[in-house]
Amino acid sequence: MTMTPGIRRFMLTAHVLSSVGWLGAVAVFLALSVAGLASNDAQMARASYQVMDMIAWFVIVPLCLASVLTGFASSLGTTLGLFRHYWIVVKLVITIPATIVLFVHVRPISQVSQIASERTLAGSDLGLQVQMLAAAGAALLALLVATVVSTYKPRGLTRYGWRKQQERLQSQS
Amino acid sequence: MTLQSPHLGTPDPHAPVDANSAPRTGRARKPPPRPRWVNAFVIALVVVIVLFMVLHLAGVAPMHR
Repeated sequence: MTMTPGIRRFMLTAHVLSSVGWLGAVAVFLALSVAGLASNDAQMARASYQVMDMIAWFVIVPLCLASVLTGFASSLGTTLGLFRHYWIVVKLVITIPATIVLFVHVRPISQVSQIASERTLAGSDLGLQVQMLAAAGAALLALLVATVVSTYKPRGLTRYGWRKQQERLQSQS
Repeated sequence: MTLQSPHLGTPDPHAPVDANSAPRTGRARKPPPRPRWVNAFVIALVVVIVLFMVLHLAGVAPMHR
């Protein structure tokens, strides 16, 4: 199934917007997790974790889903395909685990937010706080790599992509 | 010009099949090697996974409690 040029451009625009938005939201999440961990102001730390919970649920999760869905649609609706080019496979290898890790981490985020809404965070909560920081840093790095790969689109056909290309060329000749 | 061109007629159906023969179009018969940047990415990915596991086992990167 091939999309019309209009739908293809719309999907690409939606994909770029959601992907870059996801990256930006994770950067904000990282800044808040640093503030929550390093701030000497208890009120600031508590507020940070409560805002992080809202950002995770209402910004990061929707943008992540939108990015994955529009990415699949853009690949499958054009001749690019999902497994024909290495740069797309690499993006899949980055994005799918990042999405799974995000959904695994949403619950601990809510847990820290709940603690922060009830009391000042103590030393016993340090593990969760460090986990938030580490997850945000790893996610930011992964999304930066995915963005660079999609911008540069480094060359390279997979075996499957090469075979499909040969089939297409032979059918044209 | 290929063997399927009108000048040469259709390919002989009884001709011996050679799996390694060229596709008779003059194009590449073997898939290109995996690009170096993909190999570098795979190595980096493995390093990151191993590093995370080591940190996790050392208790520096705790999982959910």
